[in-house]
Amino acid sequence: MEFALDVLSYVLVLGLVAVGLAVIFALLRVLNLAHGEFLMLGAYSVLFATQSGIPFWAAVVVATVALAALGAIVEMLLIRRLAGRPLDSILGTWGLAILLRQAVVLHFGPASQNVDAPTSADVVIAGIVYPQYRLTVMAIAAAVLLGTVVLFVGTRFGLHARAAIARPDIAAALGVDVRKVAARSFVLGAALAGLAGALISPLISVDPNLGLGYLVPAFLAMLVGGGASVFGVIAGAGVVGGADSVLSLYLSSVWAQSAVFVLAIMLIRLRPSGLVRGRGERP
Amino acid sequence: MNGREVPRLLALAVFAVLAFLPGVAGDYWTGQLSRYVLYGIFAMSLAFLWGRAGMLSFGHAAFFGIGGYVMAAVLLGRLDVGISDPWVALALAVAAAAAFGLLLGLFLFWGGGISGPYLALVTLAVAVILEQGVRGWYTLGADNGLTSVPPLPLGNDPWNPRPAFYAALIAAAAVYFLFDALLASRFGAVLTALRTNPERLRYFGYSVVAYRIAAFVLGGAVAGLAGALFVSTDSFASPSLIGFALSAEVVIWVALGGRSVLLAAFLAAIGVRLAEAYLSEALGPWWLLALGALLMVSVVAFPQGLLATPLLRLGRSLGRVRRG
Amino acid sequence: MLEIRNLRAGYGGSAVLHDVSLRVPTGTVAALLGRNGMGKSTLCKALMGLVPAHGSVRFNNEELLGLSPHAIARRGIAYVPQGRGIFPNFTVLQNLQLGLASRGGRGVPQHVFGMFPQLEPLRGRAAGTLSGGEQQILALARAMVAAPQLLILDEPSEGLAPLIVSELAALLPRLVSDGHMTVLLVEQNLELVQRAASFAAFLEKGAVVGAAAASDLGPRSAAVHRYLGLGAG
Ligand SMILES: Nc1ncnc2c1ncn2[C@@H]1O[C@H](COP(=O)(O)OP(=O)(O)OP(=O)(O)O)[C@@H](O)[C@H]1O
Ligand SMILES: [Mg+2]
Repeated sequence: MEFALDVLSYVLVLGLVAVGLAVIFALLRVLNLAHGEFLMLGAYSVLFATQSGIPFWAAVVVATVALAALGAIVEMLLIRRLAGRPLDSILGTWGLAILLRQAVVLHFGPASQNVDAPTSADVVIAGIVYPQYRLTVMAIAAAVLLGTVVLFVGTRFGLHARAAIARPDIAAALGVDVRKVAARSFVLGAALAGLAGALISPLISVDPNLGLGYLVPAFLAMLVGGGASVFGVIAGAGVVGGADSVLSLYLSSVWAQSAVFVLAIMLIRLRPSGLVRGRGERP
Repeated sequence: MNGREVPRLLALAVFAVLAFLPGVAGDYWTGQLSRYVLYGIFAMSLAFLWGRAGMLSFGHAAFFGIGGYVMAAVLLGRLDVGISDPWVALALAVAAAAAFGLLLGLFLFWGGGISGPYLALVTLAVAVILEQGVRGWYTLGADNGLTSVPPLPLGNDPWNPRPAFYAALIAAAAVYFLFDALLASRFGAVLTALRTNPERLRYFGYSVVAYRIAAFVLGGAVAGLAGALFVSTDSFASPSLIGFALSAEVVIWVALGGRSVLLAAFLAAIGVRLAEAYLSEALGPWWLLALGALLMVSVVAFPQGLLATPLLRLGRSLGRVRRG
Repeated sequence: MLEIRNLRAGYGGSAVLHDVSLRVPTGTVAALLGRNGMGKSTLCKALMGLVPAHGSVRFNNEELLGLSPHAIARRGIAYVPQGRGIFPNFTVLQNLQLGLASRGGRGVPQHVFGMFPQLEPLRGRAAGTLSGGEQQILALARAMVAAPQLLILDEPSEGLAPLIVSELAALLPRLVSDGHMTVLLVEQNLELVQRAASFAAFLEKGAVVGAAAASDLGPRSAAVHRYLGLGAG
């Protein structure tokens, strides 16, 4: 039970990270290698804000907004110039990732730091004792993911985004401003990654390299899930995150991660279009 | 004269200038330079795969590391294959990297398979897996790596860095002219088509898969050669040679130099390493920040690479002078 | 008035259209005829900004060339691509809602269902499950949702049963009957052109090589014989 909760919380956080990655790849063919750094910056924003005396939950909001703003700047200066050039996008965003990481090293130093959770209380559910903060994180992550799904399934913006993913030329000819949809999606993805980093900041040790640890699993989640639908990405996060947690029971965490990578590569190789098929039109 | 001669002469000039460097550089820098030249070979192998055959191996250190680790493990007797001759070990290291390229290529490309950005991500994951594997494998020294790897028997004085430098330089020149000759042949024409128009290639009855795998094997073997020479020069095989960090670094060198020009990639590897050696002390953490910014700017504003454009232009104007 | 002057367009360096000039007066259905591969679809895409083009395309005295596709759509130009371009996994209603992208607003106007009553009961169905004829009607309805001033139809009759083609033939003249809308109909189906259009231009090897009134388009007419190579045998 406790284990199931741990798995679920990892999957939800991974889902938050992977959604932004997948949507921008589906829309612009841009692979954002700096996406892990958005998560890292979310955590550092909370660190910075709480150190400046801002209460934790306000700091989470600050972090999310800050990352949305950063996302908007990055989209304008870099991402839109890389549209349709997937390989170049890998390089350009890798440069950005290096830059962001070093900027954090310069400001906060290379050592890892800790953020205090707003509460250290435990709650008892179904007979087990579980940290209340972790449950809160899960609830927020689940709610935000659900909101994202609703955004893509139930709104005009979502309809346009899905159409632009499925047939960008036709969507554009119908009047969808694909660039604008992509820009907004990128900002959303950056904010979600920032939120994820903010939420997990009390649960991990915050260091400048922490983004990398989420980047590769998030990419694998995107590829395993097919990458073109929000459901698919969340399913992919479930597979990658679930497998990682289950294997960690039997193997040391390093070997478990390797095993997950092997598994994901196999899946990608055998089902290149992912577990959930369809180019975007499906939610 | 044909269009290939000028770049060849340019390359010859570059190698000739490098050959004079130990005379002015002193022992320490000669030793460092031999490492940079080996990184340059590594960069050429990636430029060949990525710029010429259109396959970005984002986990290219896998090959470099396999070459290095096989070299070290064989010579230190960790892998008991009964070989103590360093040259045989070198051949074995290259063969191992090539074999890995073959297996990985078969797995990735057989029956359509993976290409483009997916290939980049999957190869990256492969390198990460290998790094973690090496870090957990005690026969290979785990996190500490393998130390005291015996050098290649070049000259009698183990403290003289020049023989190793010239070995590296000769290897670099050999690799350059091998790739150059290959690219000038029909094989090269097919590779270009592989990059630009695989559908048409298939239409004309070529096996796209076979050429992809062949390029992968070759690129892997040369990276393995660089890795093996590096480990014997450095006498140290560490997990950082096989994983994510070096993979990302070599991609940066090649991108900054220019992926489609082998000489540009070679020079960029040396140049970035030199700059790092000089500047990282003066700039501290700002060095990496500047490198990241440079990479971004170069991808957006100079997608051909920072060195390739002037090199190509120089080659063209030299060609004009020769003709005129 | 749609005015195309000296239009050149193509794909990645190789030109498909060399010199296309064409005028379509407001309130008419103009047809563009041409054999396979002559560049008809390329012309449609060039008008929509989907392929790079040079020359001039003016609609109601505004230059369209150089605008991006969504900006062109927002100037009241609707396009039904060859093969219909519906989104098979979206519902009929969602496909129609996409038609509003160029105009804004939320609800699909009821008059669309008035114009195309057969779509009303299908609103919730996935568009991919519709018959070919229903899909073509859907594509047309989606274009009409935004109440366009210019409608570009790329071979709407392709793959349709004769009965549905004749429905289409009856429908198109009605669309322009109030004199506000203009239709550019790209076709290979002579009968449809004859019934729906007021005149036809002929596209050959990337240029407009002639024109004829719709009444002169009989299968044995000189124009058809000359430009389409039909009717000879
Ligand atoms: N995406 C593309 N890239 C390259 N060439 C293309 C592309 N689309 C079409 N062509 C070429 O351009 C030429 C004109 O094509 P186009 O589709 O405009 O012809 P068409 O008149 O519409 O033919 P059809 O009646 O078959 O629809 C053809 O030779 C075709 O091969
Ligand atoms: Mg056509």
